[in-house]
Amino acid sequence: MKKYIVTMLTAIITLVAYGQQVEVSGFVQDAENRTGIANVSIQSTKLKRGVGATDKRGYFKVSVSADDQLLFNSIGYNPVTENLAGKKVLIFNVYLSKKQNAIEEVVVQGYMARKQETMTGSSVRIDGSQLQDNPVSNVMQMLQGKVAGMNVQLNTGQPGARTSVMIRGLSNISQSGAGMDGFLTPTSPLYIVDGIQVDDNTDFAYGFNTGGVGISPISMIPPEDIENVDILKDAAATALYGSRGAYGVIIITTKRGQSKVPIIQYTTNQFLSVPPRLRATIGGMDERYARINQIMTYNNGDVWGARDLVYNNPILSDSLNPYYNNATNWQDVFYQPRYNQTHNINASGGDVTYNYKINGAYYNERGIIQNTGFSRYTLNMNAEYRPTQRFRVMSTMSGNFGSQKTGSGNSVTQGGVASASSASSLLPSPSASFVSPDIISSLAGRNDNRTNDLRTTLDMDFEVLKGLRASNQFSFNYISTRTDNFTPGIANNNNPVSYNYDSQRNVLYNLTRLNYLKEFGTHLFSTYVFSELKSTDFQAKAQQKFGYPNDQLEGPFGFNAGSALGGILNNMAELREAGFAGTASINLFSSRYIFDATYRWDRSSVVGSDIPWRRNPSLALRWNLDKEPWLTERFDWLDFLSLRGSWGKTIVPTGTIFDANGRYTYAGYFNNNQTIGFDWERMPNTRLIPSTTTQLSGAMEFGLFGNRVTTTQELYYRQVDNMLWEKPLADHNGFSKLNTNEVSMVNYGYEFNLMVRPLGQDSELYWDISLNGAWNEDVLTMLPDNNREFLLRDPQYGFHTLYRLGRNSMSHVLFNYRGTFATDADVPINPANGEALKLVSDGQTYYFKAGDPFWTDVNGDYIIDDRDAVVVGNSQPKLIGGFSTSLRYKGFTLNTQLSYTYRRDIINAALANQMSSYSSPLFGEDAGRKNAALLPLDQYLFWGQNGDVADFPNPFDYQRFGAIRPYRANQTLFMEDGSYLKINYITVGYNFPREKTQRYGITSMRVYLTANNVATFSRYSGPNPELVTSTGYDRTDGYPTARSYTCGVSVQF
Amino acid sequence: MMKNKYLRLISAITVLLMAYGCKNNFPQDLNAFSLDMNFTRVAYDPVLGRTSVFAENFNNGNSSLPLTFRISSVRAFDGRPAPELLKLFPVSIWTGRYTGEENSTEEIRAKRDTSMRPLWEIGEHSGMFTMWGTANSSILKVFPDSGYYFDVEVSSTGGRRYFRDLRLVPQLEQPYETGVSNSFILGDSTRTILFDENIDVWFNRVGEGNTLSFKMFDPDLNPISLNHFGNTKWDELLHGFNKRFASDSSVVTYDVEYPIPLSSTVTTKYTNQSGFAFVQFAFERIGLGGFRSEHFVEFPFKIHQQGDWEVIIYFNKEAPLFSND
Repeated sequence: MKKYIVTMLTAIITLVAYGQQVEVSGFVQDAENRTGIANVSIQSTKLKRGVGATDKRGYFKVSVSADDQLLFNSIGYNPVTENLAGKKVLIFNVYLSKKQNAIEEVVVQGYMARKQETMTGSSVRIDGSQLQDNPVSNVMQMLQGKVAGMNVQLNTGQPGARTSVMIRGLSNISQSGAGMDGFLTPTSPLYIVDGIQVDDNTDFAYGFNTGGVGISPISMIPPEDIENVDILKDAAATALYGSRGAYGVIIITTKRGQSKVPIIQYTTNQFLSVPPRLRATIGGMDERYARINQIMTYNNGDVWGARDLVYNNPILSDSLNPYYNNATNWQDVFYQPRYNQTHNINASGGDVTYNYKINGAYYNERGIIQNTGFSRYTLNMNAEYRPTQRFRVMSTMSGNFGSQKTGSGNSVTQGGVASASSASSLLPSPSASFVSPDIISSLAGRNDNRTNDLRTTLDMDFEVLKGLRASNQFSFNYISTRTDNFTPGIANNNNPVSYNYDSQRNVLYNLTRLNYLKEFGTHLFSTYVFSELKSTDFQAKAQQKFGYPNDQLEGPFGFNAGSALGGILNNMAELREAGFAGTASINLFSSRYIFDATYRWDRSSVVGSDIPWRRNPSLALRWNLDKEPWLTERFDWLDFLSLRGSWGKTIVPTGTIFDANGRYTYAGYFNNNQTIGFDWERMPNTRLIPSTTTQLSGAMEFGLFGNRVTTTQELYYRQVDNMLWEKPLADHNGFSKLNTNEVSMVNYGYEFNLMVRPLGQDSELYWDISLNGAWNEDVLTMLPDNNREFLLRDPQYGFHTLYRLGRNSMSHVLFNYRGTFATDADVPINPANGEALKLVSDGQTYYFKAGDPFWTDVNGDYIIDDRDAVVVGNSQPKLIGGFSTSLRYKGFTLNTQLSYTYRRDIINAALANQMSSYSSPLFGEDAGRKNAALLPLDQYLFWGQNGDVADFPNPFDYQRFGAIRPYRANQTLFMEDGSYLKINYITVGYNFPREKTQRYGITSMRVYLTANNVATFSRYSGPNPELVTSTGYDRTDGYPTARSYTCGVSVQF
Repeated sequence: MMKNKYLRLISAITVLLMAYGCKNNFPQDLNAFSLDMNFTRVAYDPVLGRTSVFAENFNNGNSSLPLTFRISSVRAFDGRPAPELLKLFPVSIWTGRYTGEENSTEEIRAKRDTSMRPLWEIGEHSGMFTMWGTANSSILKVFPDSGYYFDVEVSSTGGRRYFRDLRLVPQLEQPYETGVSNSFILGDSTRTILFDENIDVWFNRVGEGNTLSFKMFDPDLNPISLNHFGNTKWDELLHGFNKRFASDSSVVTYDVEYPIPLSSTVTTKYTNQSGFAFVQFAFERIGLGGFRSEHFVEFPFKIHQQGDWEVIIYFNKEAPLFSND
């Protein structure tokens, strides 16, 4: 009521003042970051027409009558009305806040921007502003916990490496390698960067024997340049990327010029990367006494022999020798805090007719492990020209250079550092007098990886007739990568080794589209057809040379030229893909009912020759209930409510053209001539088809109480068929292997997203809380040859992986640990012959005794062997999600992002390995240079003497250690819950008021402090539950994720 | 409002049906049950009177482990029922670990117990067969009788399969066994080496007790004093206790627990590598040229039946030469 009175009064006053013209000026700024907003239309409510617009700085100056009301309106912002009546000062600032109405956001679906309320598919848009303020080498790290159903795991801390991204669960269950060295075939979604398809699944070292450099192509995109990221999840959303969209699609759009007057924005981040808390070790004298004590106690009761062992080992006995009298912290030698910086400069300008943008970025991060790091130099440009409403042309050019140093490891692990940093603390720190191959190759070796990535696109769009548009998109992507490794002679038995690898990939892509739009009253009908063609060429070369004369002279052949290796690698490929698609969309009663249908035909050269075009249909519906009068009449607190559902098929090519077509290779001599013959390694499968995903999903979206609560609830069923699987063939076939499509699995689950704004629109304090999560269950539904189960053996460590129908796709196969034998009498006895539970190792029988682990003898034969393993666990998380909050008060902002992973079984192989450090108190053949750092045991309840009821078996019995292997990692003792809650980052920012910065020619300025990777809360006893392989093993030689502290400034001129 | 309620109900039902329908078509989490599984041995011929174990007799053919085994429809060769194989008998089992380090018969007895079991058993999850030592020819039919037939049911959650007509042909008890003896002893008259065929080892069961004695006889069946065998480690000769020599040193007797050795799979200082008890009687004398020469007679043996046993070493050609040259 009060409001009305005020309005009435103002109206009366205005009437009095009517007719008087005044000049009004000021700035229109974004309420959040206080940057000027260009092209804000200013309307006079009195004249009912526009009276002007802001310039690029957000400045406006209009002449209106003194009693007018001005309406400031800009797309994406809530309109603001300013009443001039009664205003004494006619220079003022207007703050526009971003529209928070989820339903009005514009999202991309199938090459077209659509309003959220017409979206039939499941997709999420992340605004580029949410990806700022935190320097990360790979922008996907910033998306962790932001999107329901997208599982982002930073399973390595190596800067520039790939981040594991999975949308809606597993998509491929085949592994390269097995057990600890096993890596799931990567199934990153398809990335579309400014219209260019970028594949994160090829061309980089992810497993251990994969060729290629370790730089993820996504690491080449500077986050500062990102306008927004769209994550497309279900079949309807990804339908038009169907030929590669089965793993989901992520569209990254970079910034465009939007302001008539050029804007220059400069951002810098100065950050300090700090190693996380590293493992504790016993140092110096304590280590010596721990070892001596162990030898004296556990030498089978032979004290005099034990004394001789100690005396004969100078590291232990010669404690007065300065060479052995040390307490070196080996981890400090390799792990150190680093100071890094990034710079980004962005110049943009233009209007609807013509706009442009240039972004130059420099990023340099030295890793917390010596001799590792990542740097990136990028220059991106785009320009759009639209001379008339009927014609538009846009071009982007992007040149990126990335360089990664991985020391003696690869892009995932740091085996060299891990083994070198596990040296005995008694040895001196590295110096002229003490070196070991691992130390030298870690510190002095060279492992440089470089990627040059050039991307160009040209889009043209022409309206042929009213409603009918023809457009063409053309893009070219050239990626050249290079690896340059050198191991100095001292690190490799006086035999310097160099390895060079380089590859080129050309991707040519063209899409031609015809688009027709027709309106019938409140109904809208649109359709388009397109054809796409893609051509990829790839070739890689490598050479390896040994035995250079010294470490300085690298070439030309070395003294051992005969053993030099080199040539073109056999993964060279030419790949062609073609696709045709048609889509129709019907929008009835002003978006009350929306119906979409898509159909596409795809063919590619990795598909077998007997297979016709793959056909992938999709259907989707949306019902906006909020547009039903019978509903809105009743519930005025309901802002929007809609139901949508979709079904569809998408594919992704798996395998290579050689799997489908076979391979000819050099086959030796025949009749004194060199001949080319068939490669009998793998049988060509002329019926090879791409991996196919069929998805069914349904969702409900609604917003309540003036959009103070908005939520999306979604259920999905996602079936992956025709996964590639390598099958051994019986030896009478001639061929030895065949790749087939006989594996299927299903993911089904529930996703939710909840946004709450507890405070109203008019509150000074802006507070935004967002919570999301996704529960995913996976089931294996088919294996080759109708088998029920398949065991993937790990011959080295016994970390077998079991695939069994009806279970989660991959299960651990472990010995069931039931405790430790407190006394000898607790060991089960074979009633037939009086033998204790035993195991046989190298033909020798070992009886279990007090202090040994009690593993369940599943088959009851009183022998512990492979047949006693049980099937347990799931290495894939059940529930993933995130929580974020954003607080804003005047110029201050506080943003926090958390992410969580719940119910994941991981194997703490790291602890198993560290516990095993007591297995060789006499250092063994490595003489203390590796695997010799002792773990302090005070926090572990382990068996020490007869009768002890302990959590852990006796770690000291080194004589029997190699046979019993009490700390083998493949036992349930080390299977732990890998659930965690992680504080990804906390950012505190301040936007300087414009009035203060203006006199320096600065239109906006922002400073911020960010702490990244702040903390991880977990019951997991290892260092980091996230830093595990994709199959859930915590390796000891992972690259720890750094914590970083950033101080950043962003200035706009 | 009504409409809304229906709508909610309908959508809830649809979602549930969808979820159920999808899940219902998933394969069940069942064990793999391979058609390739098989018993690698179908006829079993345990010698009675001792505990025999037949292991590694089943090939699971990549089935999921563990499988469950059960003996079913045991019958005699002619198809008549064989209740004696189903009945429970008291069998001697181990409850503590036999190490060979036990210091008294009581200590050994404390590690053994009697339990009621069928004589012919299959390991529930291992598939191993055990014929318990209680079985004897008065309970079971023995060869040359054709013995028994039985079936084995193998099952897991993945399936169930019967292996029909496995055979059990018990063999007559052999109370003792001996292996090849070895010696280096000269005869006292010819002063030449006595070969294996010149030395016989006899086993006599003379009572129902729990003792084992050793005697030696010359060709005329006169006892040889065991004092001559001065290098013999009498205390470590076998896992027996209360060693006692007869007054004329012609007999040595130990209190023992049967069988000997107590466990044929546990290697102790009293056994050889093939699971036999192993005894050596040794002496030395000054031989040709004044050199010390070591002489011995050694042999492996097993005794399965409990009782007072005497082991006689009979030099059938000539008595050993003990005197110095």
